[in-house]
Amino acid sequence: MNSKDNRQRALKGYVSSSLMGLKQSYILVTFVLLGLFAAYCIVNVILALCGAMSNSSGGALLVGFGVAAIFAVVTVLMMSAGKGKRAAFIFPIDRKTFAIGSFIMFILNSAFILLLSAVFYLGEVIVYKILGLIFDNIMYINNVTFESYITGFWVSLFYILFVAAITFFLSILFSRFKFPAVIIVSLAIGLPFIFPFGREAYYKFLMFFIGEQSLVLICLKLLICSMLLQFISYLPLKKMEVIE
Amino acid sequence: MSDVIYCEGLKKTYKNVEALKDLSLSIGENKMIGLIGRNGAGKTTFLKTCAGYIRPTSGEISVLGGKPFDNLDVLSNIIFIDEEIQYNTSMRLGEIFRLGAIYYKNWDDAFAKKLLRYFSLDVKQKYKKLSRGMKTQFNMIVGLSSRAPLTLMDEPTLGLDVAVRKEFYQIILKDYMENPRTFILSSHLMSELENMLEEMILIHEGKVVFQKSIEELQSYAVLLNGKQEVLKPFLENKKVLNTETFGNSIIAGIVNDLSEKDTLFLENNNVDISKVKIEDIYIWLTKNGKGGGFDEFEG
Amino acid sequence: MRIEQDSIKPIYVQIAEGIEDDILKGVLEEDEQAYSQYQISKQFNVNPATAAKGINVLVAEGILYKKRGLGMHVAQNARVKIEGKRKKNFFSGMLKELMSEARKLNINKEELKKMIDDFKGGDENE
Repeated sequence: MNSKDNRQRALKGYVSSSLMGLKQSYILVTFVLLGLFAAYCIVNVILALCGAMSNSSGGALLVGFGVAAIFAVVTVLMMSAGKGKRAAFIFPIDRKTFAIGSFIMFILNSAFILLLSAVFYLGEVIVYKILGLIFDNIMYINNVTFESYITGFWVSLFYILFVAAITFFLSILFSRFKFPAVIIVSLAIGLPFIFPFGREAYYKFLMFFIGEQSLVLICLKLLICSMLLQFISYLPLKKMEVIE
Repeated sequence: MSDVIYCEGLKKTYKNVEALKDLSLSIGENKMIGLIGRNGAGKTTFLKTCAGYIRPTSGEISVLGGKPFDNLDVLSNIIFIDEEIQYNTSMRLGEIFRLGAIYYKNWDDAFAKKLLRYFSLDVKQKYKKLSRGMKTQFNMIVGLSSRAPLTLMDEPTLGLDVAVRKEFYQIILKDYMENPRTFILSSHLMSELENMLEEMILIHEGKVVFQKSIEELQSYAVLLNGKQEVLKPFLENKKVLNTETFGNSIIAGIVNDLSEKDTLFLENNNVDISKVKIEDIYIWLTKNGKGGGFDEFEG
Repeated sequence: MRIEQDSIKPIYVQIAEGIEDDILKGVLEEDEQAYSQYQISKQFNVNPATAAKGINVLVAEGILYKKRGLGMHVAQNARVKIEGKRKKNFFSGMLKELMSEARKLNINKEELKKMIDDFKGGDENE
């Protein structure tokens, strides 16, 4: 038996089936983004008409990041919930393929939204350029350079990846251990807030990911933590059965 | 010939329910096997254990040379078809074929599409929107087209009318002859397909009651019909599976170990000897203690 | 050739007898090709192993033989062999059945003989 070949086929199959399964969600999120972008433009135009000084830059990118984060959470829940898991295990895959394939999907999903918002951002630039020609009080300050966009893209991607990995971890935990998991996790999150050192630990934890000066280091930290989380999620998956 | 499936003392407990208790069997390569048993006998649990869906509580199971649970090398060679298959909701039939082609290295796409046309389905249709019978047909098409060395089908003809069922039996048999592989079919309509099987396995209360070739089963028991005073003493030394009294006569199903002397005796005393259908044997053996059929049974 | 689901005879025996019948009827000629395992299996929806078993019974009796690369063929003196065999079976099987039925109906041997003498229909001496 050719193990490597089997693994490759399983991984390709799982990623393909996830993409096919999420097709409708992709279309939906594209329209949501488009709607948000349009609303954003309209609000700014109205503001400009009212005489307010509008200086926007990269609103679409910010919206894109938010939508991508929400999309990541929703899709991860879809993939890791009972129904999604069952659909995945109809075909010959093992739990390792499921964990690795899901991780690939996290990256693909957030990359999709971020690239999409980049397209809308270009639209935003064009809209403002046109508006600037019509209205005098619209000053479009574009401080997004190609370079800063690329940096922003990667940092966003890794943040969203991290969010997806946390969601996946929690989802697997809940589906495997049900109520006890909910209680333990809530306690683990809630209890430290009572104590000052607990709050401090939270602050430190947050700063570990946000307070870093080097962006490369942030990305690296996020990636490693996401991978670690994914590996931990894989452990309870290992003995998971596929039951209706 | 090597065993495709080998189980020894297989147990599976769901919470408090023992679905499989001490199940042992072995299934040879490239055979067409039928799996029968009452609802809740453990057929589906057994098939799901073979397909790696669930993990046995204890005991040994080897499928295609390895433990099936979470074993990609084993699973890549198995397809399990049942009525509960739920693809992603937006999936179209053509997309499922494309996935099949990725997952299964022996996938026969031309065959899949031919069958699809034959059953008047279309690649553009959404799986979710198919009727129950159409879903069953489609699942069966996927099951056959995968050409998986071990094909497990749980109630493959559920919701199909008799004409389509017959067509499917023919298609399965033809495909099996052209591409020999191991099939395990569980069905409540065994009498319809018993002749296309090589062996039949009866599971009752989580155990294997028998595993026999169809020929053995078809002549395993006989039905005797005669006067009480003649048959009663005669039956004392026989393995009786079922008895019914009808007026002054007894109709008894017994294990067919009649000697020539026995036959002569029965004929001389006007006792009719007739065939017993496998279905009847199955019913007698799974009567849950009534009539003592199950207790009398010996492998 | 046909298969009776309700017959007490096993399917493979029915297959063997079906082939024999076709040989007796001249549907299959001596020294010519006989049905293959797959043809039988497909035609009657029976497992190929069952079909093979039916064929093998006839091969063991020398009624069919395997020609290299050409499949199953009917042996040269197949008809004679089948007739011989069936005559034996006629006595041990059908005659016994007849007698047993006759006994049930209280028909004695003399009556039975007379019946056979008087029997008309399908008889060549008619």
